[in-house]
This record gives sequence, C-alpha cells and structure tokens, in this order.
Amino acid sequence: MISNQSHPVLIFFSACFVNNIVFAQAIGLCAFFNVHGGFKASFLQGLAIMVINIAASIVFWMFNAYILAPYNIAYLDIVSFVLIIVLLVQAAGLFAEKFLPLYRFDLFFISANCIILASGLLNTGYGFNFVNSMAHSTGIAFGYVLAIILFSGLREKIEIAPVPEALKGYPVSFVLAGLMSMVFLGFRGLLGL
Amino acid sequence: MDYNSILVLGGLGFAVAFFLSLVHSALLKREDHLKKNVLGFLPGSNCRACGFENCETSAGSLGEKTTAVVFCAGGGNCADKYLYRGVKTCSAAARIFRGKKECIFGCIGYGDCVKSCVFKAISHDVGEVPVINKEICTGCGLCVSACPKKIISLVPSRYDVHVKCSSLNEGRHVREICSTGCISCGICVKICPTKAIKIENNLAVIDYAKCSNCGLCVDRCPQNTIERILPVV
Repeated sequence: MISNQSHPVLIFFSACFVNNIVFAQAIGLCAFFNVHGGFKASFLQGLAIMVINIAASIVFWMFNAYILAPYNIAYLDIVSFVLIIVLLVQAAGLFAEKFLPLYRFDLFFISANCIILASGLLNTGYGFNFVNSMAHSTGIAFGYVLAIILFSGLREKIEIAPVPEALKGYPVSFVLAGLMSMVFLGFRGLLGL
Repeated sequence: MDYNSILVLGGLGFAVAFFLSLVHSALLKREDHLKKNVLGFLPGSNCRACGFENCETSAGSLGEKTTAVVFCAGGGNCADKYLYRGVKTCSAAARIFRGKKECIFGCIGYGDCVKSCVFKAISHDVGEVPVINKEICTGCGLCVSACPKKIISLVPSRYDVHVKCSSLNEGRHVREICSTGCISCGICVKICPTKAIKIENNLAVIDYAKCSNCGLCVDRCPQNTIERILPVV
C-alpha cells in the first residue's frame, strides 16, 4: 500500500499501473466509454484530462490545506472540489475555443468528470503532502491516457470485427474493458504495492 | 453558531462565477447573436439526437444550411484491383492496399456513410457510390467522419454543381481505370463564365464563392464528371 511516507516515484507508478484509475478502480468510465473516433480523438481527450487534472490537483491541495483543514470544514470537500472542476473545465473550454478552434475536445464529459474529483479526494484521503499529491495525480492522469490509448487500438479493431448485433456499441466495449482490467491485474503485487 | 461553511462555499461560488465571467468577457468578445438566440431555444442537454456533438454546434450550423456531397462518381464505372471477400465495410476494405478499387481516391462502395447517417438520408447499392438526399440531409457531418477515403464534404446547400471526382492521378491514368473521373482536360476552366473552376493537382476544383450555378460545365464535361445534384424526387 502507498502512504505519505512512500517515495513519489513509487506513488506515481502505483497510480499509473497498479491502481490504474480506469482498469483497477473503475473510475471515470463515462468519459472513457464516450470517446468516439480513433487514436486522435482518444489522445486529445486524454491530453485535456491530463492538463486539467494536474492543474486541478494543485488548486485542490491548496484549498484543502489553507481553507478546508484550518477551519475544520473538511466535509465540504466534494462540493467545493466539484465547483473548482467546473471552473477549470469551463475556463479551459473557453481557452480551447479561442486558441485551438480546430481541435474539438469533448469537454462536456470532463466537466462532470469523476477522474479529477477522484484524484482530489484520494489525495486528501491519503493525507499526501504537496509533492506526493502531485506525483499521485500525475500518475492518475498518465494512467488514464495509457488506458484510453490502449483502448483506442481495440476500438479500431472492433469496428471491423463481426460483432453480434446485440453486443454492438457499449456492451462489447464493456466486455473489452473487463478483459483489459484482467490484464492490469498482472501488475498487482509489483514492488509490494 | 459556526458560519465558516456557509462563508467558504458561498465565497467559492461567487469567486467561480466572477472568474468565469471575467475569462468569458476577456476571450470571447464577438459573440454570434444568431447562434446565441437559437441556443436559447434548444434544451441544452447535449443529447446528440440531432446528430451534432452538442447543442452549441447544432445552433451554429443553422446559420447556413449545408449538405454532404460525395466527391466521387466511380462505383461501377471504376475498375477493381482485386477480388475482395473480407468484412463488408469500407473501413476494413480501405486497409488492404488502400481499398479494392484501382483508384486509391475513390469510393469503395460498402456504405459506411449509409450506416453512420441517423436520418436515413443516404441510400446506395453495394458497389455503387451512395446517393445523398438533399432534402433530408441536415449537414451534421457524421458521414464525413465515417468515410475512410475522406471524399465526403459539407457544401452550402445553395450550390448544386459539383466536380464528382477526388482523384489526383494524371489524366491518362484516370482514363484507363475510370470512365467518369476527371482527366484535367480544362474544358470547364475555359467555359466557366465566372472563372470559378481551376485545375489543381490534376483535378478540377470549383471555388464555390464564385460559382453561379449556371451549369455550363455540366454540359461540356467530356467525362460527365461534373454533375448537377438536385433534390431526389
């Protein structure tokens, strides 16, 4: 198990592979299953989530350390984190619309994103200091990008495979995700994590 | 009584609202009023039933109606390279030697666009180029992204005359493999009264901003590549 005493590299590795956010913890599935298109769309969405996740974690940690914990109102963490996520995602959407109009990020699914919320809540739950919480959320973001890129390859293959009519679309994606999560079970117990 | 929670949450809410309005006014000064008004009438739940990504793009598309046009007239007129017996989708066939047609730019004809269309605006026979019904098409662009050959584009609906070819091959090669491909002879360039047609990379291209829909090029094209697309009756 990781704790605040673990090395940041170990925490990163744990969040990225052993406790992969999608395949080991089944968090953030709404965004994960709603990517339409191949590698490029998946990569863009993963990149958007990565940037927002890392930015949000900094704000979360500061908010928790300087406002929530001193005033003894830690029970407000979920609702305040959601507000911060909405702020960051909407601001990022406006920035993207202004400076990168050619790329279409699926920001709708990020605005209510469980990955970013989960990374904030896990950080406060573990009681991480700043460096460790940065390592943890960066690991979560990289794990998500890894998962979505691996899955985009499967998506491209399944597009041309003779899938039974009843399984087309989401059902076969869920079956594939289950198989992938069994693959990620192989990391379990690595380095004592 | 402890007011900390109310103060913090209320303050956070106001701070978020203030910061967002600040960013909005700083970044997006010129807002499209038509789009904004249309957006007011939409439900805003981004259900994708209209075929667009979200309500915003749907509202933006209402300014000018566009229609999807397949820029290929090959189909049965275009020779086959090999006998294909794989999965009957364009995206699968396009992965094997760039499709079964001799022309690597042309329509493969298994109708991925037909399956992608949520409005049933596209009809086709296997092996032929799909026909898009101009009346039903909403210009959502789902078929544009479904086509592995990228020969479908959205064109403003008021233009009917299109060069139905995407081949960048030389004229002699096109003549060997396809009976309706553009051979870049340049007759349309000479006949066009508004100088809207240009030959670029062995392909006649219409500049829609200059096109007057006169249709002189349709009559004179020796390969019948240029067609007038009218609503299906």
